[in-house]
Amino acid sequence: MLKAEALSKHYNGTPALSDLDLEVNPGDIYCLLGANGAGKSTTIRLFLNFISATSGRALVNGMEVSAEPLETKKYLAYIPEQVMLYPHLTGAENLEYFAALSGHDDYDRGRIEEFLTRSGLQKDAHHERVGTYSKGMRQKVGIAVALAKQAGALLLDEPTSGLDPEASNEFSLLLRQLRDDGVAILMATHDLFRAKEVGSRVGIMRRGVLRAELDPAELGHADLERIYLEHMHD
Amino acid sequence: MNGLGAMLRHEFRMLLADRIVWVVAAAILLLTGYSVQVGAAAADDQRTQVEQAADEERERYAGLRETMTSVHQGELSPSPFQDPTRPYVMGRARGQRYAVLPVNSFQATAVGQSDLIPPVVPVLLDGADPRGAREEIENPVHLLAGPLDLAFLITFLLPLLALAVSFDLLSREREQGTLALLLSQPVSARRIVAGKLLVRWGLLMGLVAVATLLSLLLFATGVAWQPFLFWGVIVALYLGFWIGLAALVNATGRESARNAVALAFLWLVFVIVIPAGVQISAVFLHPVPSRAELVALEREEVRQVQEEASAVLAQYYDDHPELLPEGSVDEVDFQTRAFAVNQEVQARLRPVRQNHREALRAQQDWIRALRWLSPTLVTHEALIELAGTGDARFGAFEEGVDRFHREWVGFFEPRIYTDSRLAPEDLDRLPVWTFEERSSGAAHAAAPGILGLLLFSALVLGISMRFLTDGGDRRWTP
Repeated sequence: MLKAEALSKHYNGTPALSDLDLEVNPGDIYCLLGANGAGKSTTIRLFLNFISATSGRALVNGMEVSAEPLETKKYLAYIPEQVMLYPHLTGAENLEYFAALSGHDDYDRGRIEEFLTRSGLQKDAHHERVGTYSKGMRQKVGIAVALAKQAGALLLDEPTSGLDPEASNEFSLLLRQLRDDGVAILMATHDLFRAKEVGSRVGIMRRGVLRAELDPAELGHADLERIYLEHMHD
Repeated sequence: MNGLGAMLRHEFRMLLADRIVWVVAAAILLLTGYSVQVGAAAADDQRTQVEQAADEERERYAGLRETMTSVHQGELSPSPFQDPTRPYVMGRARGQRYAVLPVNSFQATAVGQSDLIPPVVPVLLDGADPRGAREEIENPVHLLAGPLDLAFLITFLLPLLALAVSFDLLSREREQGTLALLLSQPVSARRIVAGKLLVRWGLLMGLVAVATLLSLLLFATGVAWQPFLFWGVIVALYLGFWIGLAALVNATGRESARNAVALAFLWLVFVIVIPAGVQISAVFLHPVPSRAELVALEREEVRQVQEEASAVLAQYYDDHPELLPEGSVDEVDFQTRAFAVNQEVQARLRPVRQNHREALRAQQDWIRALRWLSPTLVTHEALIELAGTGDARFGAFEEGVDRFHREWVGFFEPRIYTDSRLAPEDLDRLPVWTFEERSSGAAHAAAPGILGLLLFSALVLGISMRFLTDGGDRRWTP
């Protein structure tokens, strides 16, 4: 569903991402681990065509992103690290708008509220203005926007960074559900614990290079941390 | 269409949630009402002047008819300088007729040059100068100090109001962080910007059109509605240019504050700097001789011709021996002599006046040609032509006055030289003033402006849409 082939991005000659090869299939949760500046966000932004690859290809559902920027976005849902919404509108109105843009302008009020509830946003906040929301609440509306899009692939850039442990746990459950529904998930994170818990594969990145690919099922927690630190310090 | 309806609805709702939009809406309503009222008052003033002139002329002529009848029946023998049966007396102040410019049916929308050219010009043997004390032709900078009419509101202030609601149309999405989520949807940036432009354009256009319509109904009399359509097209295109310019600046991907500064600068260039530059260059390249010089020259000519009066008169009768009354040139009376002197002075001044006029025309042509440098000038020109207060209609009026003056002199000249007397019936044979409106009307007045503005708006919109292609590390992306 998501595929990177020798994908590279340079900024004025400085590589931000070098020769990334990666594949995320339906039912996979691929966790990209790495420090800030490792190239995780660059990868996600390349799949979204927010930036253009210097070389290599990013493919979504077999289509090259730079050639079919709009068509490929139909298959992608995206939750940024900071979900920013229209502060004058309510959570439900924001969701309704983004859903309509993604092609789902037929959701009724009940359906909209269902998505918000599924994302963990408490009922009494659905029709409050987003200007009054906390960061975690906005993040949940972002999750609802992704759910409502019913996309085949999900791109997550540090999605749980503003969530409390409980919400973070709920989010993990949600991800597993989506995985079971056959969604291909690519998640950038610093959270080793979360990666070990939900990931079906883990990639460790440093300075734009994918250093290792691991299967978390075969590793204990301590192993993952050890391997991660090894790659960070050599 | 991917949620196009939702996008427009959403944009409209976002716009209404913004306080600045309400300020802009209030400004448009109030200023439109005020400016149309200013234009309507000026038009009413002109209407009154024209009516008063007609009344005065009618009454004076009724009196003249009575006096002439009495003189003919020998009941009255006024002094030669009061006697209306003498053509020289009749052709001057006592019998003068007015050349009048009627109010145009769309005049309330633009004062234009109507405050520079008197709409009532007395035509008499001594002359008829519609320019009166007017020294300069229409001055685009004069607009700044000129009346706040609707044309001024549209050309100068409306762009500022339009920019106030569109200077941050894309940069705000980026700054508040919503652009990332927006562009992760299968919607192109072009579509998003186009939707924003459409909503802003529609809202402003609706406000201006409704406010103008209401104001015209409320304040103006005798409005024709066909020009209103063309007016709407011109304003819509001009508005399109400014909103397109905002899109263009936004597409460069700078922050909102910088966009605001850039757009304020562009406003200054198109609305103030270029018009002022055009005006200054016109005065510099095509200087018009000063009015004072012309007056001094006139005095000098009068003095000279008076000294040569006898020779002038003799020359005239040499050329027109059939007009010589009984007796000899020496016995010709004072009035004929005065008329001959006056005609000679006019003849000698004609080339000077002609020069003056040609210089003014050259200035006008220069300004008209350079107006394509700024959509503001194009729009202003189109709006005043549509209102009938521009060069075209006033030019036609001036020509009409000239023609009528020649007819007037032509009627009296042989009667003065043959020293004949007028009968009351002759009052019905005097030349009558008529002004023919150009038949081509509103479409003709608006067409060049519409084409020019179409080009300007297409240019800015086209360039901004080119900047908004997806991919390629555009600066405006999240």
